[in-house]
Amino acid sequence: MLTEVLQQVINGLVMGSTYALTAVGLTMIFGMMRVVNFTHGEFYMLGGFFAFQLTASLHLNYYVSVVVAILAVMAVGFVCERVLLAPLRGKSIDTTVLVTIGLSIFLQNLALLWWGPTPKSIPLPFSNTPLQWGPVVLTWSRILAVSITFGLIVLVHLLIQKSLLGKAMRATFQEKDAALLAGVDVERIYAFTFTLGAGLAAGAGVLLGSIFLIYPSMGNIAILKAFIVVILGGMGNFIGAICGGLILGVTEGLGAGFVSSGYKDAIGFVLVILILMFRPSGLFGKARRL
Amino acid sequence: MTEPREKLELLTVRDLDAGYGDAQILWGVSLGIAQGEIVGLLGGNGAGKTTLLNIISGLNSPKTGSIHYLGEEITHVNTYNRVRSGITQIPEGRQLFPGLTVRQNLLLGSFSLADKSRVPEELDFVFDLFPILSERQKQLAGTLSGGEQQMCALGRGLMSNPKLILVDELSLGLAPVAVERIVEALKKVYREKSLSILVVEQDVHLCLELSTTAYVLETGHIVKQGPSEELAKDPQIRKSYLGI
Repeated sequence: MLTEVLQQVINGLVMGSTYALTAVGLTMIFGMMRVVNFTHGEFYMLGGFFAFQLTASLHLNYYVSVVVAILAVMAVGFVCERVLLAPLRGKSIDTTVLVTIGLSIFLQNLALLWWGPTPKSIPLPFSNTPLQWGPVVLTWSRILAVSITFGLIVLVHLLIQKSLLGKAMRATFQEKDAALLAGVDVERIYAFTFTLGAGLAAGAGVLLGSIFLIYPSMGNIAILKAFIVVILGGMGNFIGAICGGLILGVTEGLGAGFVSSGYKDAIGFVLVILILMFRPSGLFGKARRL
Repeated sequence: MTEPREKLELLTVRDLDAGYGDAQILWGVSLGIAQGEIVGLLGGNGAGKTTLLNIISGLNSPKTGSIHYLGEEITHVNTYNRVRSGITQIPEGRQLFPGLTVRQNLLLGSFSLADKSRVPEELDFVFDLFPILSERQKQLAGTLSGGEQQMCALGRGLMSNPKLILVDELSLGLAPVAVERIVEALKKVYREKSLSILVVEQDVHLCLELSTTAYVLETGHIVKQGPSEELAKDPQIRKSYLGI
């Protein structure tokens, strides 16, 4: 029994860390730019497909492919921000929501056209036979996913907390006009935030895509999970997104193990309904400053 | 306060019309600031003072009219490039970054400085001006008192090594002793750095005492302008603004 709980918690933490990675980007873009990015799931999906293309067709080294795929999605994110969102600065949130939904549909169908509807798997350079770690069983791809995810989260956290660019990001988040008056090029901050967010989603897509399968509509469930996590942690709350991701992952793991795996995806929605009823500003009190 | 050092035009605002949507706030406003001059801008609530400042700093754009700075038109230049070229605004209500420390707030003020080796020098100047900020540099800016926040806001503005400071409602909501302290500091800055200041103030006494030239803005029109000493004697101004 205890072993089983432990196993589910570990599985939950692996899933949760990738939820956190996706949600951090989403919450950052919302907090900074007041843009609800419905394209986030497609950045996640593109991350998976780019890595697939690079490894399966171009036979590039897996680890190199992971990095190149993330960078390529960042480039896509950058172009989308400059071309579609930059001209809409200061417009109502509904307008940008419509644009990101439109972009999401476009990218998803583009992927369908290009790669077809059949699920693909990314060829891995290591065997995925389960490793026995005491009472717990884990695969290499899961260990890799959780390590890279935490590495990325720590990197982004350091970037935001320590670097001058990060301080300019926080300043923009806290007082946009004052940041402008301090000489911060807010447009550049927005472009960077969106690009970084897209890259984090792509990272999660590559890593989960290496564990499961990739297909054009895989972003749909990913973005739903990311929204759940953002609501759990509080909109625009960085630390909240990380904790929210882990909580969702573990709850899902335990729910799947002990209730029914059929209800796994429903658990998140039950959580959201409860949070919205009792703590609408998220689990971590009022929206914490970035 | 003192005679202008030289009468070279630093900033020229010509025939500005501005507003939000259908509501027009400024009607044909023109104004000039010479190098090394302190100019006062008087006016009641809703006269359009902050809108005018925001247009000069680039936060708002005018409908028509032009702004020239150091001989070049900057009407359509964006805010951070204006900051880079030496225009800084100390915004009304301070607008510090509440979740960052005092030191981080100040350092962000020099974000636009191309020559980052100047930063320690500027920081020393600000700490020398307001020693309390040096003591509190690790504290979150949101936890400072009103007066200290205003000092921090002024300090942050100075960190960009400006040529022109736009000061919006310096005295608003502050205790007289704090106002006095900050005004003294502003005078010291003016003496020690070669810069110009545009002071927007509801405190008319203070505004006319600080400035050499002043403009009176009423419901979006400049209704009077001239040497501050003369305006202080103007019967109409004494009646409507000084309550004498």
